[in-house]
Amino acid sequence: MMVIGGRTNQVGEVVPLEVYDTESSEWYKFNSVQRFRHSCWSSSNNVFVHGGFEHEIPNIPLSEICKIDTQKLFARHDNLLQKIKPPEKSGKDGDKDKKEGIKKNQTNLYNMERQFKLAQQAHIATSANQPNKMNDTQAEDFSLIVRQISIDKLAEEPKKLNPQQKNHTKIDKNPNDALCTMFLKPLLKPKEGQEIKPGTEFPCKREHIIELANECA
Amino acid sequence: MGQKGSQESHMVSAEDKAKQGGKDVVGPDGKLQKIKDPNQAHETLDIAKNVPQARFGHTITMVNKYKVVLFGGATGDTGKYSMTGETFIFNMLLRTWTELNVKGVPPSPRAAHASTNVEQMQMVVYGGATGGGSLASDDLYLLDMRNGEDQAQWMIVPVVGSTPGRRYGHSIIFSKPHLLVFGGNTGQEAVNDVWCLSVEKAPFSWIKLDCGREAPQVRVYHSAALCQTGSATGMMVCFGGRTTDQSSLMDTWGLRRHRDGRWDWVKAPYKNQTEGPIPRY
Repeated sequence: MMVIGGRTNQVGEVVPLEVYDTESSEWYKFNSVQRFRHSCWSSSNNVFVHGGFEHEIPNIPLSEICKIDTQKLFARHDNLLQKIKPPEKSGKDGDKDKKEGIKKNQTNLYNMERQFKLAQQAHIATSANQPNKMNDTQAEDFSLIVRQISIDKLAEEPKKLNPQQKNHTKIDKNPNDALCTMFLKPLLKPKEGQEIKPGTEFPCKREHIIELANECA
Repeated sequence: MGQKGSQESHMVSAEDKAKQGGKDVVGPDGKLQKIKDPNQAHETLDIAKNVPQARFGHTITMVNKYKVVLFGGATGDTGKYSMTGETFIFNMLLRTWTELNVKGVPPSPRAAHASTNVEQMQMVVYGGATGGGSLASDDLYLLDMRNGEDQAQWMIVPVVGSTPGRRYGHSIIFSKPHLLVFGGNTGQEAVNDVWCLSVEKAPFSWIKLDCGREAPQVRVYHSAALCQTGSATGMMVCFGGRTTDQSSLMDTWGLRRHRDGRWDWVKAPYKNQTEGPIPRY
């Protein structure tokens, strides 16, 4: 959680940017962008601060946007760096694990993203009332009904356990697929390109190209 | 852990501040230029066109991966502030500001209101002050941009029953499917009540939540956010603010909903009470 700017009971008191580690319950202090009555939001590893006042000129508001790069801010704190995602490298990082920005007046709270790693293996347990029952003593020993399997075989398990039931496991579609398809489709139809008449509008929109470039950056 | 060396902040002098912004040097054109320090964590974005007038007490709400919406706030110099009710969108990829040509009923000009996004390309605004000591209505406003920004439409969400009432300096967050309004000042006093509206239950209605025995003290101008990762996902987290005797607060609280539908507050533990955050609002 990040706290940016704000004011105290002492007029003009400079307050640091403070970061709370939700795991260790510790607070860290950093040099701050001095603002109050401002608004903030965050996007990937950046926190943006807009408007509000500076202490030196507490009567004229600001119109600029200040960007804070958390990678650089936390450069000397490995434990904080570990909690923010590395900058987007490929199109694989989807919307769902993206930190949506949150702002409020005055100070800002911002819950750090953490990196999650998937386990390589999963444990499969068969419940005791399966059709071919084991005897009671066996059923109590869980080691006999638990198997360790590779994580990439996990999708196949429901079929083995209950062949009648359909496999409900769905693989989340990469949200960037739409973007990829948009560019890939025309490329896969090279013949169509030959028929484009002069003066036809360029098939890709400016915004999509920038988006694509951003995903690849 | 707990290294003293981690305290790299101190009071920032004007000199430090100049350093932070990069050195000013005279460029070949005779104009002052800023040299950017590559290790500098913050920089001011260079945006030339359509920059909204300088303001405070506004809200900026993220509506999708690349876009944020600015609403309201006060503009002008000391004593001559005027409230705005404009809606701007900022595209973080193109770094462009655009004032939205909104249809429907926009909220009246206001500041110290609260806003949050509700899924993609939708956001709500609640409460705020309209200047001269009066408060904005208790209507919940929805900005719908799902049909494109050029079709952006403001509307009042129809709500039955009682509402959180007029208030300013409160917070609103969306913890799907619940909109949660917390604290602020009703015009008479600072409060610490929590109101909830489920966006999945029609007709929409506000319910004042019973959040158990322990609760944060009354506060105005605090911050609130939704925890989006880890075991506390979905928890509303609040920090700081100003309480009844005008003193600033430094506590952090989380509001969570249990599976059985009960809500309760938990106070965030601080490992080292003496080195906690500076109280602020």
